Amino acid sequence: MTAHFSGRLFGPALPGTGMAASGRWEGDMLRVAAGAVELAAPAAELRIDGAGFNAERVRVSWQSADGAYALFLEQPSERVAFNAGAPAPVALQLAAAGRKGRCTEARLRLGWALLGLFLLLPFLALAAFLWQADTVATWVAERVPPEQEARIGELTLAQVRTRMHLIETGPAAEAVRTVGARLTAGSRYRYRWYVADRPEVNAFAAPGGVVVVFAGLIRAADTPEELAGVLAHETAHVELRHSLKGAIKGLGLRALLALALGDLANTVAGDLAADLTEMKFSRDAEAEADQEGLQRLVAAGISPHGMPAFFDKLAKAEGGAAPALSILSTHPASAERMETLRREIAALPARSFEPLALDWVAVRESLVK
Amino acid sequence: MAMDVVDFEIFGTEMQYVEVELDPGEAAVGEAGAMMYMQDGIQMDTVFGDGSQQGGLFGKLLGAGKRLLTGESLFTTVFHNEGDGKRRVAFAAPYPGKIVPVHLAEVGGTLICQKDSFLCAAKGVSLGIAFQKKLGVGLFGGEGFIMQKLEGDGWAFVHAGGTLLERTLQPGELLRVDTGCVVAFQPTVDFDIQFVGKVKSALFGGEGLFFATLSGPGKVWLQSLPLSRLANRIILSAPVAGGQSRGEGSLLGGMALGGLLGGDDE
Ligand SMILES: [Zn+2]
Repeated sequence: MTAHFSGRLFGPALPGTGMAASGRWEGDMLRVAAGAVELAAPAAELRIDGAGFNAERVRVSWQSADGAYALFLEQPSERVAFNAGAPAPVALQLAAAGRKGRCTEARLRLGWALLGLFLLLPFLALAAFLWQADTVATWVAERVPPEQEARIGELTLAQVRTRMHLIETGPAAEAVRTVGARLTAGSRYRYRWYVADRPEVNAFAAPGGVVVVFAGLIRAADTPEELAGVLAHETAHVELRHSLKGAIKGLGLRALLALALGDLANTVAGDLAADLTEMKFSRDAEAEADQEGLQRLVAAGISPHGMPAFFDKLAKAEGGAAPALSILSTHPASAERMETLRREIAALPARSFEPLALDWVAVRESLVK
Repeated sequence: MAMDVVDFEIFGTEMQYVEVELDPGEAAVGEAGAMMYMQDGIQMDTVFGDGSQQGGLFGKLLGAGKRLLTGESLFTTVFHNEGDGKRRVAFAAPYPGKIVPVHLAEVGGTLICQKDSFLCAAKGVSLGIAFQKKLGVGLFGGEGFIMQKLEGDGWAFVHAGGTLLERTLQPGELLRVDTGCVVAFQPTVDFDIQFVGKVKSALFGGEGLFFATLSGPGKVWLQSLPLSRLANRIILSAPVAGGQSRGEGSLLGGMALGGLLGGDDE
């Protein structure tokens, strides 16, 4: 006496929605009863496969004289009972049917994994960028041709013009241009020098050689050598491509963020100028710019003492009610940094520098309102 | 657990609603937005998950998680008759079509239906999510990807847009249909997606390239007017389209992505 198993039977003379049925094995013969219908089919004529929605069910089908029949086994327990009395070839087919269902399942999992990866990709890229931002920015910066750098400079300049008024004529603009030209003689960049009509003590350099000095900084400098010190430092940031790397870092982050958040429109270019006026460089980059600036001052025959003197003065004034000393927040003049600078100046071969031939009083007065 | 026995009555011809009669203590579940009216004495209760009492806490959480993933509400609404006599609650079809009563016991205890088609059921009928596990469906036939699985032995009501077609397929009999036109089918029916047409027309035409194949045996319910088709026509002819086009056969299945990323709450 073998176990009975239940399922749902479909076939001719049965309702289209099938009928609850009970089956059992009688040797090599499958016997199925559903209501008044009683059927028998030899095991050799049975076909067994995974079928139905998601191939979740086991279908036992056979052809009889009046048409095709199919018995669906739904619960795993029914499959066990069916298998218990089944002849060997049937058991083999049943095992294969189970594999089909599992294969569908595995493919679904793979699909979900791919979809998940696809959705996470921008965030992964962002994480990788944050992690290796400096390396990536340096790598990219080294591959930007000078013409491209100049274009970034133009773009920045256009943005700066919309934010602040630039003084392009008069003694102050003239003075900045003269000193700047001496510091950048023979450079691969075409420098453009501007004075911004703003009270803050600040200066910044855009990639490609756009240098902007704020009127407040010129008023705060006691000698043209102090201005030269700042210009030399800013020039060094351009020559060492610090500004470019910073811009790439800023833009890259923004571009990736925009991608991750799905908003690629106009967020990228517009804020570049704002970034540059507030761009902070690493401590290493500042030290490097000091060194390079110092070299340029000496090479141009300008006394380098103005550089530490100016930053020292600002650092002392910082505690008081000085006008916004933005330059200190973007190029922090640590005591350590000034110390190094003085030591390097002292180590230079003794030599006398001719003072810059500028009417400094007139320059400063031209900016007083 | 025993299912509640529900008496019902369907009103209207093209814009139908179903009135479900509940004995004292009986209950029905439905999408909250589908309720039309209820008599005094019926309490509305929002429950976490699908309202079936099976599966314990973990099962409920899993059910809720699936609903969240598919962009459906985390909660189902249960309508209890707390009165001492028979009370009625009515659920209305969301757009022109027919309400289809399916007695789950008669179809073997399980019904797979399109996510948007479910209207209401006797409490005790469990509402599950059934992902179509054949990958092609997920990638190319957004509409057939996430289905709803109704289990139990009571009455369930699904809605078919436009005109309803009921077919019973013989073993091996095959029917090709637009994915959006499938309302429900018995789980013995094999549901798959087939790519029909040429790559060129796939690139330049885009319409009707993917078909669902339903192979018997079992009963299938089809609708002549899928909601997405109606919605697309309306959006296309609206001067300012504020809605989102919902593809019938869009690449990567708008439904799946929409569901994952929050989705629209219908
Ligand atoms: Zn600096």
